[in-house]
Amino acid sequence: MDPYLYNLLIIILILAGVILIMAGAIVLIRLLSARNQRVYRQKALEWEEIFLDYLHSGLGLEEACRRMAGEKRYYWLWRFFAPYLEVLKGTDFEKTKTLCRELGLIDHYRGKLRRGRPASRALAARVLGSLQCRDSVPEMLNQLRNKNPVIVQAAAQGLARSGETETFLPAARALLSHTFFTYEGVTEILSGYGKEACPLLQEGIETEEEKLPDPDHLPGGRVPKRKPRRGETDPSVLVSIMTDLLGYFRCPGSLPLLGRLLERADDEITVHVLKALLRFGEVPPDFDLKPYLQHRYWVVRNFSAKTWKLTGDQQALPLLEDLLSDRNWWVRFQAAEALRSAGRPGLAILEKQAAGTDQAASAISTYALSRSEVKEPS
Amino acid sequence: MAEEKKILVAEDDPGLNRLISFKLSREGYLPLSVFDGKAALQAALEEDVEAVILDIMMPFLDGIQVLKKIRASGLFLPVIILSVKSREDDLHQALELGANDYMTKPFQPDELIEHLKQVLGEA
Repeated sequence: MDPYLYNLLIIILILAGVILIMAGAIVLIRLLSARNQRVYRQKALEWEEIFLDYLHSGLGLEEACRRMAGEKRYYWLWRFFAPYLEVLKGTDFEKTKTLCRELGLIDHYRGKLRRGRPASRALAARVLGSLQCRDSVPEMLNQLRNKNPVIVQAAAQGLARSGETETFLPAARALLSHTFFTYEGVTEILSGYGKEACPLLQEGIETEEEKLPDPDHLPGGRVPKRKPRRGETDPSVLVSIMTDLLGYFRCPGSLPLLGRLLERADDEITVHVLKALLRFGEVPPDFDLKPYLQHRYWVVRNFSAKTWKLTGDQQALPLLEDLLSDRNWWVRFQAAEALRSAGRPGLAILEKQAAGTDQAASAISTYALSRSEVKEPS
Repeated sequence: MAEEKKILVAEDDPGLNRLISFKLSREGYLPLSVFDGKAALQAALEEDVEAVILDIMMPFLDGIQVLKKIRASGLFLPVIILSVKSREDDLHQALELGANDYMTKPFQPDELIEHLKQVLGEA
């Protein structure tokens, strides 16, 4: 046989063998996984009966433990209890936590948090947070300094769920400096602290505010952009996140603080204050929207147009009309929506602009009018 | 002990649905479990239920849509909305649409039973 063909045949046979082995491994893994799922579902049904009896029918802790303790797959136990821990509170939550403790779940995951592989540590932080395991808070705080962003995120999530509000600032700083989340992502994780964090947020903003540049002495009247070093948190970003959360929780008594933050002349903070006001559904006393409708930063113009409906300021209608020609589509859209919500005077402006020569203003006005359900009084 | 009143439990999380249903049974109600919005609407319109416990986030039709359609059909049976705290806007909307009461997760099933008794006029 030609040595070239012979070598080719050998290579093809080896490749075919490798493919067969891989396909076999995939089939085997899938079969094992399906079998595991079946066994878990069966177990979960058994556990559910025991758990519900324990929770509401007087089955004792010892007996519940005895009947559930045979299984030492802690991940399965966790998977079973997680949805209940998410929705229960008060005595039912405490009873569930006690059962988890007696089954060894807490000890197991405390060990994993200290010594496990990254994925196990991350899971352990979430488990211990969901169980509101206060003994583990120092270790979770320790994990905020981990180099792995996944562990930092899980530790912050765990701390947020633990209900220990005083860990808020370290968790926020770690998320902002050691992970790659967007502001929305960070806000979502930190929202786990709940409304109980409101006083701490207000205090935190006041503390961080002191680190912000004095608004009366800003070069060119604006805060200079500065890239923070790794491990450092920009106070402006931290204030923005906390402002978001004030709005998220509609923290009572926050409107004067939001009004003061607007005076900071920090574009990022201004955007977040306007977002928070939209969540509150009201504006601070003596709030004047007009400067923000003319702001240099398009995101501020966009959010201030959205905020118009909270003020209903008729004097701002000409500024909204100007924004129909803004270079940014989103600003034009929000201005048109604000005018659409302003009733007859706003609709008159939209009709005028729709028939006008400015193409951008005409297009967005026509679009807004087509969406309008307001009927002319007969 | 309450009479065997049929209560519709519309909650897509199977564990929570069974937990609520279990608690309702213990209190002498007859729970009817559904796990998505379409089934919830169908059961509310076709089954002879006395009240609905309605989760907001459900597949196919969310709780708000289900409530809207229930009210649009002229059914004014008591509806208790279940929601997570972060979706307060949905709660306001649900109350405006005619929900009788609401509970935010996390909650205690005992509290839910108290709310149910109130909307049924049994408290």
